[in-house]
Amino acid sequence: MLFTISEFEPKYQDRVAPPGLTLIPQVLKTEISFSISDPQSYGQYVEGLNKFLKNYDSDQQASDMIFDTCADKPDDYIMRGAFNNAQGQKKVCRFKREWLENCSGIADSSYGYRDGKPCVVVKLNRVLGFKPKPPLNESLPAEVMGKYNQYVMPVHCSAKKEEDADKVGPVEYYGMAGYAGFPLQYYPYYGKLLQPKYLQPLLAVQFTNLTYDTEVRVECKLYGENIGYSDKDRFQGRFEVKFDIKSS
Amino acid sequence: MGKAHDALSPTVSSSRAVTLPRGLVVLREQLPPRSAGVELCSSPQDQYELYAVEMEKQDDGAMDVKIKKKKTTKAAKKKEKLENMKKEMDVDDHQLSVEDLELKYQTSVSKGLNSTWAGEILLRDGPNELKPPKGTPEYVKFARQLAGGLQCLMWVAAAICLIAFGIQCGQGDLTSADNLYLAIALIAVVVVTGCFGYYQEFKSTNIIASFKNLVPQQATVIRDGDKFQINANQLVVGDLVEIKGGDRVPADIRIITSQGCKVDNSSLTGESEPQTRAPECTHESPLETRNIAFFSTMCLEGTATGIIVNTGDRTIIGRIASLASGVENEKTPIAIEIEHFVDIIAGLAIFFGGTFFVVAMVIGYPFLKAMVFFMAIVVAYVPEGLLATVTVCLSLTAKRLARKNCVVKNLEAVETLGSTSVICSDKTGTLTQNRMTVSHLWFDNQIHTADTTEDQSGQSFDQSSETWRALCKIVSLCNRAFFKSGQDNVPVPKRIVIGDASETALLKFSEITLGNVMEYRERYKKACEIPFNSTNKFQLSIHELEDPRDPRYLLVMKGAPERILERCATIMIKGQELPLDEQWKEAFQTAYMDLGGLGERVLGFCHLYLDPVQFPRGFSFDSEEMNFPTSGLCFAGLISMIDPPRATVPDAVMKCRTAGIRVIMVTGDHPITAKAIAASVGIISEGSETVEDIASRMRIPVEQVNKWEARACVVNGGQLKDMESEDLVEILKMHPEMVFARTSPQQKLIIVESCQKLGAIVAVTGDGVNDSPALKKADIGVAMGIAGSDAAKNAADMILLDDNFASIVTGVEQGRLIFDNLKKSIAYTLTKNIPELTPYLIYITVSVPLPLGCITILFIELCTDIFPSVSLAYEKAESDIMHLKPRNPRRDRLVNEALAVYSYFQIGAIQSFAGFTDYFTAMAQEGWFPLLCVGLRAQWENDHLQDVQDSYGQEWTFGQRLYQEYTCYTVFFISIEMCQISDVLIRKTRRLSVFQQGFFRNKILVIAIVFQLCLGCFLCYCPGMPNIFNFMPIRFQWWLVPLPFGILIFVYDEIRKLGVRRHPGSWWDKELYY
Repeated sequence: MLFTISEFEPKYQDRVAPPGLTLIPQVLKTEISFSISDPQSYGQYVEGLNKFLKNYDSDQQASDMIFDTCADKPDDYIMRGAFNNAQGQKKVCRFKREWLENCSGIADSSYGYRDGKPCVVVKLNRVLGFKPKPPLNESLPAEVMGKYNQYVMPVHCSAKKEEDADKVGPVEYYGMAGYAGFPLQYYPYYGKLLQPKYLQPLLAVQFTNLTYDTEVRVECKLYGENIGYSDKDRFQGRFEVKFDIKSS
Repeated sequence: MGKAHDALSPTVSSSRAVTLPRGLVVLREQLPPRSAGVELCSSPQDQYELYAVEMEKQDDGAMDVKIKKKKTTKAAKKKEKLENMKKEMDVDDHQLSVEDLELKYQTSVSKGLNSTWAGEILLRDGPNELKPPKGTPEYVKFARQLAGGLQCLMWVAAAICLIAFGIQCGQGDLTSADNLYLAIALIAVVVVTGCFGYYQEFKSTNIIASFKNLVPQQATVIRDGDKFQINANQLVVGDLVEIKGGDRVPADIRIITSQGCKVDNSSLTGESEPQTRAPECTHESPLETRNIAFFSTMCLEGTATGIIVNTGDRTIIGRIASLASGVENEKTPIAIEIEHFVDIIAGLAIFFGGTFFVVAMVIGYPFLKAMVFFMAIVVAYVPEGLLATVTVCLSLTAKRLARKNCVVKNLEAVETLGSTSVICSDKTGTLTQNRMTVSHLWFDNQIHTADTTEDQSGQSFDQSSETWRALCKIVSLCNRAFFKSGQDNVPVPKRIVIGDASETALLKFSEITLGNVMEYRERYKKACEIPFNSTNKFQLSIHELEDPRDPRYLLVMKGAPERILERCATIMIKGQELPLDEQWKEAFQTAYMDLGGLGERVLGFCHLYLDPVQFPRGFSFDSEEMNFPTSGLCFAGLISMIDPPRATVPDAVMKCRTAGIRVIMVTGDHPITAKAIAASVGIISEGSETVEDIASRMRIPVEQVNKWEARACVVNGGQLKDMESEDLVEILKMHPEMVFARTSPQQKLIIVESCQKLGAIVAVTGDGVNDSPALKKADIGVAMGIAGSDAAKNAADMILLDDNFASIVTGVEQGRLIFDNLKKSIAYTLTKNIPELTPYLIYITVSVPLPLGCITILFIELCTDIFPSVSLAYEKAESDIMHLKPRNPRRDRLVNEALAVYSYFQIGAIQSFAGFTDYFTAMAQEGWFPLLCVGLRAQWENDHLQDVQDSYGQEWTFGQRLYQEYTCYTVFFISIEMCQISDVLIRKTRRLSVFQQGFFRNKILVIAIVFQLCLGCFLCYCPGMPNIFNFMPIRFQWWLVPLPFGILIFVYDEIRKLGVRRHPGSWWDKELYY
């Protein structure tokens, strides 16, 4: 049975889908805690973001053999044929780091941490062949509906608890064409062998006016028809992060 | 106490004037019974000395030395008690005159004690009852259930788990409480099985307790000159009591007056014959003298009054009982086997743990982590389910035995009979019915055999002869015994008879052969009677004839054969009176010797029709004057009686012998009787000779006989006393067929010990108080439920509720079966240890995601696999186990290396392969290729990483990985289950092919497999399982992956069995047969 397994397409994906929603930097105990005055205290977050975003530098995406210039605005799925190497490797859509604006690390190398306005980058976990479906449902939160695009998987971050809502303050989203979500043309993913340089679409989220010196719990959630959430797996389709920023 | 037989009072000795032919046991007189069954010894004087010495030894020698040897540590208190015991043994109450006795106990032989004074003594001495042997308190019994070999292993494992958990906590690693769960599960298993075992034993204790006579015994006591009926436990030393036929003697009593009082000492000494009690002191030993009646013996007939000299635990019975309690209980063979097994397990566990500890250190784990690994491996080696399996298997067998009327007091004793290589059986009441029965008749110059079976189902003899009719008439008429009224519906052998043992036997005999004897006696009205007395040594009565027209009187007489013969002038042959010439006398002698040689008690019968002229109707016969002829009678025949063996015994003994078990008779009775019974039940087989037999056959002195030629040997207590223990061992080795006669309780103990010294596992059967020390000492003591005394039952491990010796054979069979089946169960249970352990080892060394979780293992051990392993206890024997020799406790172990190695490293290895194949399949099909898995552990288990990439580049959150891990657990679990189904099938047999044994014959096993599958499905597919017990619903094909491995296991084992069958004794057989 081991030999019936395809290199290109997993037999089953029931464990890995619906996909998880991950944030960068990687945090311990889902807590981002630092002191504005102490660069050391957020060094690890900056480091993590730098490392992760390196792949999104434009010089990394130079090769036209690998990269495909897809539309600059959200578009439909791009199907690249069967899941095999009959046509060699598949091309990959470029994703420009610049789209992340304030959180791209280009202008502000500290991703806003130095100003107490931390950025996090949100990504949807790669699942081979997975085509996320944007939500149809009208019952989405108003903030999400406001920026609705049929080719975007919307993400929304808000206070975990209602009463914390004022502590979170405004949240800025930086993504392709200013949409707070993942455009569909990056999907589906064709796997490590066919798309070794695959870049998944990113969304940067910046919290510009977090209340300092207190714990603020924020939940970011991806909305979509085939996106699921689980009580047991706190990273499926959403994640939670706790900010504890010391002003001094 | 053992051989209070030939109390050799001068009177008795002198009554033995007639020199008897060797080997002849004769009853020259009906009374006193103590002289019945006289031993073959050159002179009474020898015998006297022999027993005097013997008793002296008994009083303070052997017994005290023995106990002292055993109890050197429990110094002062015990010693003091023994000193007291010795002092009390020196009582001379039997030698005191009545006046001295009155003085000593401040009592009166006419008025008894003063009640107030009696009350004070009662306060001083305590009630007159045997202190129940210091019953183990219930909590100790329960604690014992928690402290067996396996239990200790589990306790240690639980402790290790807790330590490991502590270390993990200390390191701040709170992710996994597996170690805590494991510890709790281990403790729970021990406690639950402990409760189960305790409950089982509690139940059997109750069954036994229900047999105890709860009605308080009453006694007639005279106090202040008035007669009272009081509870026997209120009696005190000095009380004047009355006993009569049918009473139990309420304490040790010095007889003051007696009218034909006879007691049954069989439970004390093993003698079937009633013993006379009379006021005269006949022996200097209190145990030999006739004027002391012992506590708890039965008064059979007559009446007596006496003064109590000892009460409660100070009585002889009480002392024997305390001798029994001084004997340590032997460890059961199964307990030894389990300890041996635990040693193997512990050794392997530490070996494996150590190896992987070193490996872990070399790989570079921190010390504490490596330590946790070490502990986890050691614990993983503990077969959690085994304890439950063993307990349930044993109690199943206990139940099976209970249905066959064997109640086992201690669960572990269930197996002991199966390992037994020597059975030391008491004779009276165990092998025999403890009831005199007519066994042979001699008339018309022919020996006829009577039916001695308990239910009278045997063959009867030819009753057409005229002589028989005459003899029968004498037997019926010359008999004073009668049935207690109101027993018409009771079968004759069971009816209660008032009368002496021989008369009872004769009465029952004639009732059966003739019909209603009472009515018969009515028809022949008794005109005169002379009861038996020791001067005449005959009993005579004169009756009117049934036919009113026949005016003659019939004189009938019975008594010691030679005395009867002296009085006869004619002999009746085929209804004809022939003159009693030398030829007939010769014939008589031959018959007499033959019957005597059978160890039987012989009586002669004769009659005479009185001359109607001389003795017309209405003639006044005077029994004092004897105004009628008492010689010139017509000899009718001889009748001999014996306490016959139980019907089932010869067959049972035979079965024991084919099963390679040596049956030794150990009795308090006479050597000749013992030998005769031994021969008739097959303990001494046909054609086997003793040294004496050979000597008399070859007509050479005993000394010249090559002792090794004699298969059989009869040793009596006297000879035994002079032997060193090495000699006894030597004799036991030399003669395969042994009978020990006239042994004391201590000697029984020594015999058992000697057998144990020879490496035998000894079962002792017995019913009497005298057997109780040996019962305790034996590896398994088997007491009789109905006839058995409480002391015997207390000391025994097993009780035969129906007193059927044949139940022992069942016990042996069941014991052997359970031993074999336990082996299978253990092999089955051990096998899965390896597939449970290897995932962890691979996890440590190769750092793959954990393939099998701790909770899952517990489910395998304690849930799914219990039923199949127990079902192996229902497996039928592979071969005729009753034709094999008993196992050699040193060589045939329950768990041997072959079993462990084969289960662990062959079948277990195949199972591990199955598990890993399935594991890697499930991982690969979900996106994790095997090579990626290697070294993945750190990432996999990092709960901060939410995007670990699989072989396809897909990113997994921690939660997703965890569920995948649970899927792996489940897949591995199913693999083990599938292989275990195959495993349970191969374990059905160790040697035979499964096809020979029958695939579906063991229905329970089939049900167990179905149950196991259903349970597996339930665990996999029941909603909610993933989050409670870490089981995930798995794909159908993952059930199929282990199938080829299952088939491989089956075929592999069939090949093994084929090799074992084809090449017995070869390397293959030695290494692969467990």
